[in-house]
Amino acid sequence: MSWEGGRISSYEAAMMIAAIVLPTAVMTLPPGMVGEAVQHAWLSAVVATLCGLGIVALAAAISRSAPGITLIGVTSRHLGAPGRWIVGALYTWWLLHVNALILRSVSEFVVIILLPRTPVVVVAASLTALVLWAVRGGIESVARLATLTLPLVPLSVLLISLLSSQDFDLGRLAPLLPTEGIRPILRGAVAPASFFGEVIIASIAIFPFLNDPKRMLRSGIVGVLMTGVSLVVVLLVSVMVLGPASASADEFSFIRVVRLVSIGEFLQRTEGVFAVFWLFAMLVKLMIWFYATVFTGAEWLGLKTYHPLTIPCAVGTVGLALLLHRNIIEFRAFVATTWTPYAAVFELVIPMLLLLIALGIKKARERGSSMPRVPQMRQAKR
Amino acid sequence: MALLGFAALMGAFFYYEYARIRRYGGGQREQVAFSVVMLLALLFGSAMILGLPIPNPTDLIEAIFHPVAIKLVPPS
Repeated sequence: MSWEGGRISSYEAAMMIAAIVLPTAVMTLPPGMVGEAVQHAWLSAVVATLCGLGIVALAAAISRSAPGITLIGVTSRHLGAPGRWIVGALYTWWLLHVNALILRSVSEFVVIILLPRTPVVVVAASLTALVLWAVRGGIESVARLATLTLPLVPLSVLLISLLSSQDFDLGRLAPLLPTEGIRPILRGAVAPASFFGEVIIASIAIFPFLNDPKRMLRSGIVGVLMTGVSLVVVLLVSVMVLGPASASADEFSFIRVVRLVSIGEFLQRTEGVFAVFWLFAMLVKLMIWFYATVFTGAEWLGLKTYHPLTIPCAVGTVGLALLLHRNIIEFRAFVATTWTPYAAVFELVIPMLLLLIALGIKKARERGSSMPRVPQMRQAKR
Repeated sequence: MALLGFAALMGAFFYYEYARIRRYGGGQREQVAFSVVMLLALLFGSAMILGLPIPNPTDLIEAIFHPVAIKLVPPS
């Protein structure tokens, strides 16, 4: 596999890591979380953020064990060609699958909120064409786009929160701490935790290209905390403005909050602006996932570059996005009932096993190098 | 009509990318990998357009992971 050539700064890496989860966290996670943990959903967000921090630390540990090498490269180094074939195939499939799920989710959003008469396939194909164009430009193009567009989402969340503060009903958050145990909070945190776990792809598409590998963990923590804080704010604002029942019933509850913003006669119906900011961030997310997919595929097949896989993978992603689920209700059911253990295999189980193997080999080598060699040489002389 | 348009688009993509791989020094491995994956994408897309029954990977994933998910988070 030839080297990508691109290099990204730690700030760009932090923005990219935030882009992996933040757009989904702000728009699609809150209804499910409020449904489980009601007014304490913000505590579920805190638990999920802690899980995200753990996974980003795992990704950083894997990348630190072999600087400049991706997760598949680490597998190849420790488990040889058979390991690379198995793990490479599994990850290529998983990344392609998640890519298709994200594409379907964002396409449905565009159709529901912005273009109700446009077929999903047209939106999905148009978005994929944009993603394809950027990814063929290399990791640096994606990183620049992330730094340009991603900060708009947390800033707009903050602005919307300030503008809707006149509708806040603090009583809807009461009681602030749970009275019936932490079970609902943990239930509400399960799905978001698996979404936060997606930051594991930093060890495939971000950390190996960092120009200062020492700042790996710091970038990861900044990205995850940015996502976590935004999610907590979105949950608190949604519950305070809409109430737990409405916040859990609506597919895109925060968009409803944005619709309610009304300052005098001149600032109304701002959801279009917010939706466009969010769409930009979602496109960057798609780009990172698509980049990870084709890069992993190329490493798995032992190609010199990922470019030959970009066009067929783009076609496959659009096809899969339409095939996997007939409608958004089926998609929601899949996320609620199957997604968490499926994602955990790729976000936690395989990376953890790889890290343990890498550490075991390192320790065995250290033990081997500290063996007394001089007496052996003397023995040989005799 | 849609199938013809899709096939023509894939043909144009193939011509452009194959020439590009050769121009930038891609080896036989890249050419074979590209051709095979492109053929799979063409077959998959054509089957989708024609509405042929394609096995849905979600069914397999649900069969494997749904029982685990039920144990992890029992339905309330």
